[in-house]
Amino acid sequence: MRIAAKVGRYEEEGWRLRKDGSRFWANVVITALTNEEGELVGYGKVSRDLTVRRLAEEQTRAKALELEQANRQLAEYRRLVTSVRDYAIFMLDPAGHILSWNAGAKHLKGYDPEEIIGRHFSVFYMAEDRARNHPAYELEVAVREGRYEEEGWRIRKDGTRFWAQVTITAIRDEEGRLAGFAKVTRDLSERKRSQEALEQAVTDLNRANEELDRFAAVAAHDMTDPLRTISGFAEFLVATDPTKEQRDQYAQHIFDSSQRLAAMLHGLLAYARAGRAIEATALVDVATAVREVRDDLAAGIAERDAEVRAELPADARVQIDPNDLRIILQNLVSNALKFADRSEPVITVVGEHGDGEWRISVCDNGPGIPPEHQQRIFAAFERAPSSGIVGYGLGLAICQRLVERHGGRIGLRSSPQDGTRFWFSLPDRAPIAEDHPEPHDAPVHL
Amino acid sequence: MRLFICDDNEQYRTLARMVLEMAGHEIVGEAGDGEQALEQAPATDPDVLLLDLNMPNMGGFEALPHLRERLPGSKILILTTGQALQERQRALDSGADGYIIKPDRVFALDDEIKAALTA
Repeated sequence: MRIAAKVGRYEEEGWRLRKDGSRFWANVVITALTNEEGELVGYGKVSRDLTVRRLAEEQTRAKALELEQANRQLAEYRRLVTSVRDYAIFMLDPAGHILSWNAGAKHLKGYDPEEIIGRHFSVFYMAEDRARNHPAYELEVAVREGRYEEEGWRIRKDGTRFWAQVTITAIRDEEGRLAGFAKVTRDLSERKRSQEALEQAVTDLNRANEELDRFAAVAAHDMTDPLRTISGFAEFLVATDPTKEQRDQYAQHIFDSSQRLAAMLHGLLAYARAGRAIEATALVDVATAVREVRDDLAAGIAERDAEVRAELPADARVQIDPNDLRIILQNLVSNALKFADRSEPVITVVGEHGDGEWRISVCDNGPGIPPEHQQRIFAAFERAPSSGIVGYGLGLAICQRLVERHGGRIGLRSSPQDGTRFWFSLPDRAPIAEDHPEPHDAPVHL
Repeated sequence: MRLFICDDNEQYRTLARMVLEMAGHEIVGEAGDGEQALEQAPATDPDVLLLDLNMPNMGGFEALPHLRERLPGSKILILTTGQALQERQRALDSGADGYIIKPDRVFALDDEIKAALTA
């Protein structure tokens, strides 16, 4: 009232009490009333109940505070998502177009946000997955069940692939309408690699065990045979009184059997070596290798009066350890020498190029190998069934090991009309590393 | 005894022949596989046919039933390096009269044959 007296008017809002003791929010205006001479004669007071307005204002303020907090949280989430590097986290619109892109997505897939936002997410899929409409299927499942999860191959911008763990979650607005999808992808290549390495090791071990079993069987059989001959004739030399002629004969048997045993041991060693890790590979000229092998086998070729022709294109070069190629060709050519036509043996080495590899064939003009023997012919320690042919069943097994460890394949085609054609394929260039140039350890800016 | 030897290892056939002849037996014929044995053995009508199992072309198991049929009066003894028990049983079931593992000392062969025949 003092203020009203001084300035003529006072206004405030504040709690007031009703007669029944309840509070109400009041707007109070006190006006000083004066007479004509300007003397204060009293006060006029108007009180209004503003409780309802006061409450509305308080609610608005609370809501604003809430919104502000939500905004802050949202900004924090966005910063979090944007800066996560180990996971690609991004949004898709309901049709599968990319709406957002975080650092992890750039790191994992190689695209900058400006080149990928707006494109369809199927660009990350292998051609065969796209062909079978797999990306659309993933979204379908996510729509139906809320989320979709899988592990599979995905493609980076540079075309390399990685083993991804993918989760797609359908995002719906408050009315339940599909707003899009959240997609989280993790690179599991490392885990996949070690898993595959483990599986490979198990396969290799099983194979090694099978070979060991077969080896034990052959050692028991074929290798004790010459040994028994050696000891048998030695026994005759010691226990009987042989004539000079008999003595020479027995000694010759002992010598022949020991030679046979030595040849088998050499074969076994070569076979064991063929199973070891690759030492050094290079692009090797096949025609040169054939010439060297022709020199190596000159004695055998002359003995059979055989013709060995190389009909190879000038650019026939394969990626392999040069020694391995020589061993493969040696085995195949000396096999062909055994199987070629008796009277006029002709062996031809030819080469065809296609699909990143050379297919080299060693062909003979012999009577062919019966189909029932073609299956098992590459197994170690299988002996050629035709009598009169010396062989210890290791040559082709060695070839197979060598060819396969350089990423190639080996096989044969044989018929009584066309003779036998042993072929092997090898890559025409050094392998290209499949992996991302630097999948980890890119600098992190904080 | 009159014996026929079927074994793909020519040198072992020679050794067996020497040992058995030294022991007083007669070797009436030799073959390098089952097929040859089927062709040649019946005409020689041996007391005992020694048959290897692991041979090219036609092995012992394949030849055994045919040999059994064509040599009704002969004893057929398997003479092999194999040690598997099931192989022995299979041979006996297929008509063999005995199963001998090639002895480490070739001079023991005659005793092994006698033992197999009396068993």
